[in-house]
Amino acid sequence: MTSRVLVLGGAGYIGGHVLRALCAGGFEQPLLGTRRARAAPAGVQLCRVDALDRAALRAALDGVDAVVNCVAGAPRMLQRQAALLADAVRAHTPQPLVVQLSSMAVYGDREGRVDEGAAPGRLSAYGAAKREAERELARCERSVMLRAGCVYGPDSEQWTLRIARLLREGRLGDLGAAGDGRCNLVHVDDVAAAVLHVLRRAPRGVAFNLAAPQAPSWNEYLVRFACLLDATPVRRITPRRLAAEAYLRAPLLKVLRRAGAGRAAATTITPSLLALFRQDIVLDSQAAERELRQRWVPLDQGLAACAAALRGGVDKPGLLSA
Amino acid sequence: MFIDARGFADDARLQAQVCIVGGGAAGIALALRLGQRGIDVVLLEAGGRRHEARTQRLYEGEVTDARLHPPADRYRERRLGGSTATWGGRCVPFDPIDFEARDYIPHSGWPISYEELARYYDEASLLCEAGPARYRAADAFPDGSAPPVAGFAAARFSDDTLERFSCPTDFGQRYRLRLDGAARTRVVLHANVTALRLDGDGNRIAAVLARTLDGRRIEVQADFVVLAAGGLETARLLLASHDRQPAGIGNGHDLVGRYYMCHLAGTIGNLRLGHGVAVAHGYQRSADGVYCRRRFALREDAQRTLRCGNFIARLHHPRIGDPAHGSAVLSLLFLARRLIPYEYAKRLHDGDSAPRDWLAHARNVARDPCAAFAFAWQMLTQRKLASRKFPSIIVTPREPCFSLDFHAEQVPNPSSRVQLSEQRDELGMPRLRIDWRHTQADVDTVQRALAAFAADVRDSGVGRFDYAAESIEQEMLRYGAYGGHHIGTARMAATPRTGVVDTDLRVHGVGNLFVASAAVFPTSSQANPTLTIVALALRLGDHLQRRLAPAQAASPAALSIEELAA
Ligand SMILES: Cc1cc2nc3c(=O)[nH]c(=O)nc-3n(C[C@H](O)[C@H](O)[C@H](O)COP(=O)(O)OP(=O)(O)OC[C@H]3O[C@@H](n4cnc5c(N)ncnc54)[C@H](O)[C@@H]3O)c2cc1C
Repeated sequence: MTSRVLVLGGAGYIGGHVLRALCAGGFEQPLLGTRRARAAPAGVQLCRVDALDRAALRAALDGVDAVVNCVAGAPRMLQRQAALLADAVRAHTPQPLVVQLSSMAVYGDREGRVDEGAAPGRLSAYGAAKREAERELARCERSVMLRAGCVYGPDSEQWTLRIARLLREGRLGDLGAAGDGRCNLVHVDDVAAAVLHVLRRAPRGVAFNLAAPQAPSWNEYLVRFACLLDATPVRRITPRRLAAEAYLRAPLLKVLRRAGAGRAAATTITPSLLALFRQDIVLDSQAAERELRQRWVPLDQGLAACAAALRGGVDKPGLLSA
Repeated sequence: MFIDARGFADDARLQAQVCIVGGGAAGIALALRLGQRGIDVVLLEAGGRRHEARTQRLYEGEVTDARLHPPADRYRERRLGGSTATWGGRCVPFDPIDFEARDYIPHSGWPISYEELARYYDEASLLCEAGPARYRAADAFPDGSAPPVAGFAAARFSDDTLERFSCPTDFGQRYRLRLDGAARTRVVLHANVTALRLDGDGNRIAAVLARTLDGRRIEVQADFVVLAAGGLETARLLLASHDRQPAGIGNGHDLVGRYYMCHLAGTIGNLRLGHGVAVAHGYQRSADGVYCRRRFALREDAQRTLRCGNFIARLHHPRIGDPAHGSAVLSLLFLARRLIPYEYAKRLHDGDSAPRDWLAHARNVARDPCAAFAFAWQMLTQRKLASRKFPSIIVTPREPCFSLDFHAEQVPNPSSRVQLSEQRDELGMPRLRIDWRHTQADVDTVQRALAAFAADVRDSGVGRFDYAAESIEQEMLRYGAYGGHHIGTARMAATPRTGVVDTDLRVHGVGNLFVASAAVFPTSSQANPTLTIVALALRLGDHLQRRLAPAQAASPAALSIEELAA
C-alpha cells in the first residue's frame, strides 16, 4: 500500500474530500499541497507549493509515494501544470504514482455510451486542456486518470449549490427538448473512494470513467432535485428563455464583470452548460466497478442528502460560479 | 437521422429491421423505444415538419352524415408529430373495467389484462410530458387536494381520479432531436405510404410502398412493419392494399374499418349548489408542474348495476354562445372566436347568433372589463407564451351554477364503420368514406349516468342537478362524434374471427405486420386515447425487441497506457 500521499490542489473542493478520505482510510499524515497559505486540518500536513513552479514541485515530491492532482483552473494553466508535474515526477526514482483528476470533458461532444477507449469528439477548450494534461502525465511510469462526470455533493458549488439556486429562482426546471441529454452525476465521496481504490490496488488500466450507473436525463434530475428542494411547482422553461439566459444575460454579465462592475459572482447559464444539458452521453463506468471495485452512492440518496443540507442551511453564493 | 424523400433519386430502396408507417404519438414513441435499444428503424412519415395544405388534402374523404362527423381532413394532422401538433393534451388511463367482457356490452372485453397495459402507463405518461402515472388524487397530491365539490357523497361517482395534462406536447417537435440523434433511426419525411405488398404466400409483408407528391417512389423492406398512421388511415391502408387479398390485408373476416368508435360528449344540465359549498373545478399543479384536474367518474360497480358504459363528467361553465350567462370572460371568448382554431372553436359557433346577441355579449364584456382583461392576460402569459400551457378555460360563475361536461364510452358497433370510397386522392389511393353511427345503448349510458349523478348530488345535500332527460340524445350529438378520437377499426382479439390483430398487435395471418394505434382498442373507455396509444406502442417496442434480440456489445477491456499516450 502506498503510504505517503500528496494532494495537489488539496484546498479545493475535491482535494479536500480526498484528504478527508485519506485520513479516514488510514493514510497517515497526507500532504495538503496548496499555494494559498492556510492551516491544515488535524491529521493533515501542510505543504506549501506553487503547482506552476518547477523547482517547488520537484521538492514537494521528495519522499512522496503518490501524488493526487486535483488542481483546478483555466485551460491553459491546467495543461502547463500537468507538464510540469510530469517532469517533476520523472525526476524522481522511483517515480511516485500519479492520480490525475480528469473529466468527462475529454470526450468532447461525443454521444452514446462512452468507455475509456472511446475517441473524443469535438473538444471544448477545457476538454482539450484536460486531454493534453492526461497525455503529459501518461509519460510518467505509473499514472491513472479518473474521468469524473459531474461531481456533486452537499457543498459542491458547480453541481449542487449553483443548480439549487437556479431552480429556486425558477431559471431552471423542466427544459423540454433542451434537457434530454444525460446527466452523469458522481458523488464526491465516490470520487474520493476511487482515489483510495487506485492507491491501494494499483489497478490494471490507466483511465477510469466515474459516474453513477443509470444516468437520468437532465430533465429528470432537475425535476427530481427541484421537488426535493420544494422549489415547486417545477417550471417548464421555454427555449426562448434559455436562449436569453445563454446568449444575452451570460455574455452581458461577463462583460460587466470584466469591467469590474459586478463584484458579486452572479450565477449564469452559459452556452456550454446548455450544450451539456443536450448531450446524450453516458459514461460507461464498468471498468471502475471491475478493476477498482467501485461502488456508488445511490443517486436518490445522494440528492436527498444534498437537498436536506440545503433546506437546513443558508445557501451562500459560491466562488466557482461559471 | 432525418431524410427528405423528395431528395431521393427515383426508386429508392431502403432496408431496416423495423419499418414504422407514420410519425405521430404512436410512431414516435415506438421509434424512440427501438432507437434506444439500437434497433435499425426506418420511419416513413407522410408529412413534413409543418402543416402543408397539399399533403393535408390526402386526408380528405367522404362523410356519410356531415352533421354527425367532422370532415375527414379535420381533427387530424398529416405531418410529423401527427395530431399531437394540435391535441389538447388531456391524459387519462383506461380503467380495469374497460378490459372486462361485460355481458351488457356486446363485443366488449380486451384479450389482454389491465395490468399488462398499466405497466407501461408510467413511461407513456412521462413521454406525453404529463408526469408519472399518478392518476389518483391521493397519489398525485400526498398532502391533499380539494375535491371538485366539497361534501359530495360519492356513492355512485368517485371524485378521486385525475386527468393530467401534457404541455400539450407536439411529439414531432419535442422528440425531433432525439430521433435525429439515434444512431440507427432514419425518419423519412414526405413519404406517403400508399400500399403494403404481400409476398407470394400472402402471409408476410414483402415491401412497404411509398410515394412523394412529386412522384418519387420509395420501397422499404423490413423484418417487421408497424402501421402507426392513426385510427382512420391504418384501416385505409389495410383496405387499399388489396392486390393479393381482394378484401384487403387482415380483412378475411370483414372486420377492418368496422366497430368505429369516437366518444360521446356534451354539455348539459344545471348544477345548482347550495351557498357555502366549496367548489374546486379548476386545475391544481402537482409538484413536478403538471396541471391536474379532479373530475367525477362513474364507479365500476355503479356501471355494472346500471348496465351502462364508462362515463366521466366535469363541472363546466354555461354555454358560451348564450349571452344570458352574463360572464365577461365567456362573452369575450365568443367575440374572439375567429381567432381560435377550428377544432377548438366548434362549440363557439353553435346556433345562429343574431346581432342582438353580439350586443349582449359586448355589454357583458363592458360590464366587467377587469375580469375580461385578467383573463386575456392569463391566456397570454400562461398559455400563448408558456411551454406548459394552462389547459383550458376555467370561469368561476357569479352564482354557484354549473353545467356538466361529460365524456362517455361508445359501445362497439359493427355497422359504425369506415370503407374505401370510389374517389381517389392525388396519389391515386382510394379515399375513405366515414359512416359513424351511435346506438340506443350510447344514449342509455349517458341517460343512466346523468340520473345517477343527479341522485348523488341530491343524496349528499350539496344542491341539485336538473337536466332535460328528453334532450340528452340531441345534446350528445350537438357537435356529432367527439373529434380526434379514432378507435376500433382494427380491433384486437384472440382469434381472427373476432379481431384484426392479436394480443401482440400483430395482424392475424400476417407474420410481420403490426398495428400501433387506437385502431386496435376493442372498446373505447371514458378515457381520451393517446396515453393508452403510447403505452401500447411501448409494449409493442418491447415485443419487437424480444423478437429481434440484437447481440449485446461485448464489454470493453481496460485502456492501456499506449492507447492513452497515443
Ligand atoms: C383537436 C384535437 C384535440 C385532441 N385532444 C386530445 C386530448 O386532449 N387527449 C388525447 O388523449 N387525445 C387527444 N386528441 C387525439 C390525439 O391527437 C390522437 O389520439 C393521437 O395523435 C393519435 O396518435 P397516432 O400516432 O395514433 O396518430 P396520429 O397522431 O394521427 O399520427 C399519424 C401519423 O401518421 C402519418 N401518416 C398518416 N398516413 C400516412 C401514410 N399513408 N404514410 C405515411 N405516414 C402517414 C401522419 O402524417 C401522422 O404523422 C386530440 C386530437 C385533436 C385533433
